[in-house]
Amino acid sequence: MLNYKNIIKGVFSEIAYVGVFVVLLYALNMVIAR
Amino acid sequence: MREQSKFIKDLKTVSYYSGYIILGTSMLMPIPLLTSLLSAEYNVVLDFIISITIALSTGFLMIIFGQRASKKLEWKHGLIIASLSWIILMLLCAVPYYLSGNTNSFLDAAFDVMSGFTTTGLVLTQNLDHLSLGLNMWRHMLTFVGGQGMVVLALTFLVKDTVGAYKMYVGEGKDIELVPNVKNTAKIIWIISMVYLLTGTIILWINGMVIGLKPGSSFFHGLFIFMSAWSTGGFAPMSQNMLYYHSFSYELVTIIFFIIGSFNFGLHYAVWKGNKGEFIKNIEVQSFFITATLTSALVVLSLNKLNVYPSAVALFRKGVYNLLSAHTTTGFGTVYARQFALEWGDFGVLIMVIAMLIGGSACSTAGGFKGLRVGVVFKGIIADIRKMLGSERRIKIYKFHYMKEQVLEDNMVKSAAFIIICYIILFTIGTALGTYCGYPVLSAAFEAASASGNVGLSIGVTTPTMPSLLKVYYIIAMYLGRLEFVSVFVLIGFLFGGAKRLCLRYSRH
Repeated sequence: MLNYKNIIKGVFSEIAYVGVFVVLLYALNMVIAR
Repeated sequence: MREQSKFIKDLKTVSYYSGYIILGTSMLMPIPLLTSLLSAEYNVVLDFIISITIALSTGFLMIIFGQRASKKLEWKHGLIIASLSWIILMLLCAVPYYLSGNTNSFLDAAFDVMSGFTTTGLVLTQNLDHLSLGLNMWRHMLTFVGGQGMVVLALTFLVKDTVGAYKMYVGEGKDIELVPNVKNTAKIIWIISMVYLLTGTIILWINGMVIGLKPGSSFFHGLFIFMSAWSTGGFAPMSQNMLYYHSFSYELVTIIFFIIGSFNFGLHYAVWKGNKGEFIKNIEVQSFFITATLTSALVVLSLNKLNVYPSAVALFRKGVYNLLSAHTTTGFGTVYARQFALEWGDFGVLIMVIAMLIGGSACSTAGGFKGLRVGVVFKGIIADIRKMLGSERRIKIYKFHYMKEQVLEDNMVKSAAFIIICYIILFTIGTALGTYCGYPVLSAAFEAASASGNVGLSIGVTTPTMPSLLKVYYIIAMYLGRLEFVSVFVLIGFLFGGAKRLCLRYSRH
């Protein structure tokens, strides 16, 4: 079941995964726009 | 006679459970009432007192009407309860809007409520910049609760019976059970949403103060924007939507939260339980990352070719932001509505339409075809091509990963294709109706995709002055798109069947 530790880790993991995706999209945008 | 009494019995069972769902949502009204009271908006307090009285009375009357009916739910009951509750709630929750005087008509008020419930974000409410805090709280609460689902809310707090609960839960367009008990599944959905609500509001609150908002104002802006971002709703407290903040950091935070919000609740639960591999293997996440990257690249290429924005950063903030907002079916915008039509070019608008139709994940707050269905149909096509190219004697099993390894079966591909076809029909009729009302084809297509995909971005068609016919169609499109057709079809069949039996009975007499 869920506990506080798991929840905090889970939230940070999701933010990190999506954050990396957004950074990659930003990089792709920079390459195309150059 | 027996057939008619069966119809009345079914109606009573439906009325009993729908009454509880209406009570559950009505009990949220004290929150905006309290907000208005604290900010000395006494007219709004009165509006909410009237609305609560009407909503609670309706809920209790429906429970009393169905009290003696059988509590055993069949599949049709579950589906009808979910679809009927949404219609009744649309009418009841529109009362505070209408009483506030910020809408031109009750139809406009109902439009905005359906837009909130379905997490669409199209707006007909006027004078948004001077809207009372209480009504703003109500708008954003509706979109937040609509994202999780009103049935989920009632299952969590009010409905004690768990036997038929799953059938109501499915009727609301959700089909994933996080734990074996559907009531506990509903509770987990709320825990996930509330944890993110706390996290997101704090981050946006701090960010708001950094960009110059006062602490109190920044808190409410953060809360409202987060509620919209998480539920992929698209409502914002100001008429300029995200343009109002003029902040790259604010936009980045919202991008991250609306992408997370567009993911399946099952995925959140799996990652929270420590199964981080699910994030990489899940067919829906893979589908989203591929289509979002492709469509973003195409929009940037198109805008870059037209030389619309002066720098690469501006291209990201205008092009990629709006594309991701469309793809996740959020509806936050960093450009004015007419700029899509006047500056983005036909190709850019077309890519936006495609992104809006694809949408987010199944069993999430997002709309559209859903990544799962796109992934399943794509895999089905690949499997068929391979079968045709391969040896006839060889039988190969195709698999995909969605919470667990699953075998790709023909009926999965068929049912995914059926829902996608329904969305395309809904979108096509909306486009045709828009052009009939005098709008250019591309504008009509953009708005139809936005309504049927529950997105909320507008190209300028959705205004209080648009024809009532189009308002009614968009309400239907938002409703059908959110509940994913089947439960609404069952409700229509049930009502027509009942009416037919009554007519036959009277014609015999």
